[in-house]
Amino acid sequence: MKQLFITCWLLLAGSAALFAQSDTTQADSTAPPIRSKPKEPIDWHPKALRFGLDLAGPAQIVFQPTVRQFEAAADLQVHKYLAVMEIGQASFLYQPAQGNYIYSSTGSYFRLGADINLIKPDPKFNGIFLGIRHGRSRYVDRLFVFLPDENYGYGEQVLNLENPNMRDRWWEVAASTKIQVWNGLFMGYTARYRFGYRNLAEYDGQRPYAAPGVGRINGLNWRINYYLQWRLPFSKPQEPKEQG
Amino acid sequence: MLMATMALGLGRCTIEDCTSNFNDLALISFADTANQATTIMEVTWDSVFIMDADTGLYGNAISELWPLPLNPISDSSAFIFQNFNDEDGSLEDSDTMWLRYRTVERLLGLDCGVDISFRNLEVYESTFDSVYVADSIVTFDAEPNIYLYLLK
Repeated sequence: MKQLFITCWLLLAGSAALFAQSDTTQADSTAPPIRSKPKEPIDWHPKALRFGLDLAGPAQIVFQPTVRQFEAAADLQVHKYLAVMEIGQASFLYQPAQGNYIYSSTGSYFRLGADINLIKPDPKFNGIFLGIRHGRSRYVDRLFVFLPDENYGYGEQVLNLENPNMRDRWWEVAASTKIQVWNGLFMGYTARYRFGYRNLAEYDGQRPYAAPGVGRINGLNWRINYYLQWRLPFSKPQEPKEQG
Repeated sequence: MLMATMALGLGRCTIEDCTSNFNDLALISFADTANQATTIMEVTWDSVFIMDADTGLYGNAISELWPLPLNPISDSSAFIFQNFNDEDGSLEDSDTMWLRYRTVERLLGLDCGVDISFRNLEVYESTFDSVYVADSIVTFDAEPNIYLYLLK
């Protein structure tokens, strides 16, 4: 593998010498040289920090009051790329009116990842992004079950189970938009597709049903967040110089 | 606005499968010791009950298959099989079997409820001639989990 790498570099270096000859040929020509616009060097300095909150989680409380999820997100703009961090806390409580169980799951999570802007630089910093995330969560889940007497001879019974130290990890592909709606204020959604989910904790017995950052483990792999974010530029945009 | 609505709606679009093949009744069958095969015998027991229980499971029954309910809040269950003398009602035959297993609990779905499965079933003590665990996972399959051998 190392030899292949060295060989490739030698071939690239050798081929560069061939292009040196073509410059002499152009100087001898009578036609004026075609001047191409010099490429601007890529500025790898961070441009801005954007941070804000997810609105979908709190809004979900209207439909499911016992599912609470709060998430903050931040991204650092470097050229057309974003370094992204999302952290949150979630709790799930399921107790059906006609059921014989109570399930709860409470904990926190985070996602780290990177996005690339798919459109040309926009003066208002709007963008359509595609990226990847790695997520981790840590939580406790509990299951309480009431078992009625089925006339076997065991009588009424109660199961009280807990997994105290659950840890999950997963990957996501994320597509998002960020639109400036007011001076520095951005809104936009992020659609995610989860894959590679795995529970890292050693446990026996009760299987987890819902996890922070994941939702229902055996549910849809798709999720959508809706963010409200504020952009803080690190420097003021440079005004064009006057020609005297 | 559309995306916000989708964000709220996606969370409820999970189709849950409420089916489970796991059962809480371990299927017991009896076979002839001399044969040491899995040819099921039809046997009669005057009484079959859970140890320390107030009620019986079977009384004066004859069958090839004996479903025995496992205790979901414990890792073991014990069952007593008895036959009585037809004339004076004295205890003629009594055998006991202790089963050990591992339970796995999972919420199948919000409207489905909790499924409790019994796995790693083993007979850790028995007064029968010998035992054979054919299937250590208790399911709705009609095949016996355990064969108990009787000297016929």
